Amino acid sequence: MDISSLWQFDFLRRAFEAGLLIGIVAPLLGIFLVVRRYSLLSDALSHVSFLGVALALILKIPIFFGVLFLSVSAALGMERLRSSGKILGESVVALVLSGSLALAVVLLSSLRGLNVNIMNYLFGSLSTVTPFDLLMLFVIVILVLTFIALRYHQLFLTALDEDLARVSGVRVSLLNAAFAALAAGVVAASLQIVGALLIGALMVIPVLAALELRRGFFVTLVFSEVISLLSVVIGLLLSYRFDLASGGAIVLVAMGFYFFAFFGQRFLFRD
Amino acid sequence: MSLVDTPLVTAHDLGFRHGEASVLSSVSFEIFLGDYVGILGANGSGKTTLIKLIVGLLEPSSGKIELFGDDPRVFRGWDQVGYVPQHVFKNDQNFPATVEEIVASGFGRDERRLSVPERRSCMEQALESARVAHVRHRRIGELSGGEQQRAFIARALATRPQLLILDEPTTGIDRTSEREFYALLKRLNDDGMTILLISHDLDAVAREVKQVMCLNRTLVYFGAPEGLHHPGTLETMYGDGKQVLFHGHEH
Repeated sequence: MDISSLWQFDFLRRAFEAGLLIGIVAPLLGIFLVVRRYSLLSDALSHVSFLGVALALILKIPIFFGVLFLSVSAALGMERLRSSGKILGESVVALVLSGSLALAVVLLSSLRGLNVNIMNYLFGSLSTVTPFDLLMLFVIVILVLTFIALRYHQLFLTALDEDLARVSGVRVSLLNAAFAALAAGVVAASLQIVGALLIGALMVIPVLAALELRRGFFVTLVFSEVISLLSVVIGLLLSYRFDLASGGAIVLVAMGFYFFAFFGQRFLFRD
Repeated sequence: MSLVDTPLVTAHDLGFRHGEASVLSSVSFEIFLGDYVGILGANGSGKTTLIKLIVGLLEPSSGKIELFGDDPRVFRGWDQVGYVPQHVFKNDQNFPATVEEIVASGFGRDERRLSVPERRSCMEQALESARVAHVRHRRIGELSGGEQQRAFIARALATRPQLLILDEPTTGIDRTSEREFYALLKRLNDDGMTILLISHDLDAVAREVKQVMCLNRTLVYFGAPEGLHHPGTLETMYGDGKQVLFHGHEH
């Protein structure tokens, strides 16, 4: 495989650029979801984003905006229900996850003569990333990086203990809402390349692999970034070389890193 | 009125209800700079509720609570308050954080504005005060219960607060760690820090603190530990028919 030839095709260059942006941003949010035992949020949002695709096709609006609007609304709604304590956090996620997928399937089955390959939105595709998608992804990545840089300590403290964060002056509800909205934005912007069903995995699996190394929070975050970026690059190359769904290839590579870290920690690098 | 005469915490006829059930009622007290107060009471007596009202995690159903003269829900000077909640970090022993990261999370706005060497110096002081400098790079989940508790106290001390609030800090730690822990609190109080401490351990608290606050859904007694021996105090606190044995020594 001649790597340099990849850059001759605009769509491939865009796919790599988008993949790298997702690779940077997914674990940045994922680490806070994982340590708060709220990993399923990303899965619920990815299912909601699939419903967003269905609604956008029916309403004939740009898919990105349909997905973004629905994902952000769902994220804020779930966060509000979770923080109210009226429904268990996991139950909220399960309700939204199943409900949105069921509705998306019903809506899509009612559409006739659809001129869109739904599989691309479910599992990701190298060829569907447009310059507009790339621009939106870039904007969301900048927003996430700024948010994490400014609120890192507050997010860490909230993940550690919400009451402790409140008594340190953190406005936890506002922080959680902003975080959930950004996670929804990342899911919406990543839909084209990783696919609705696999973006949650890219947020979570590199973090799980890094956690196996049993280091502190910041070092775990750095390892998550490295694993995520390597997964994206290797996954996309495999996808190009063997004509595989890009999302599946990326997530399988990330799973490979997880199993290497899991077994390595127990059998190879044991003290 | 001098600074010492200004109460850090004031409760006026404070009450809290959970639905129809009264959890606390008619509680009034003042806590001043340099006080060292142990809050005692049976399970369900309202100890943790009182602490949560003080730090603004709960809203009073009646009466008023003030922290440094402000309503805790609008209070902004959290750097002056060090808080160690009950069961902090008991849920996930795999949380990926080193002791240094836990302590750094306690830094307030002032500490974050300091230069790196100055911030390091603050970190050192907090680690040394709580005697956890030797485990600074270890993950919190790898430490013993006593070390974990001291790490969170180091975090609470990071802003050099005037008021330290601890909810059941000695639960689940061994006697040696408990002795070291009370020695640490005594040192901090001798240096002028005000301490408010919840405990089940009547003996230890009565021995260590300057004042005890006894709760049984209302304030039963607030004063010197010697007052616990007054007829009726412990019976009111723990309910009729319960005999409370006071040991003058450690178990």
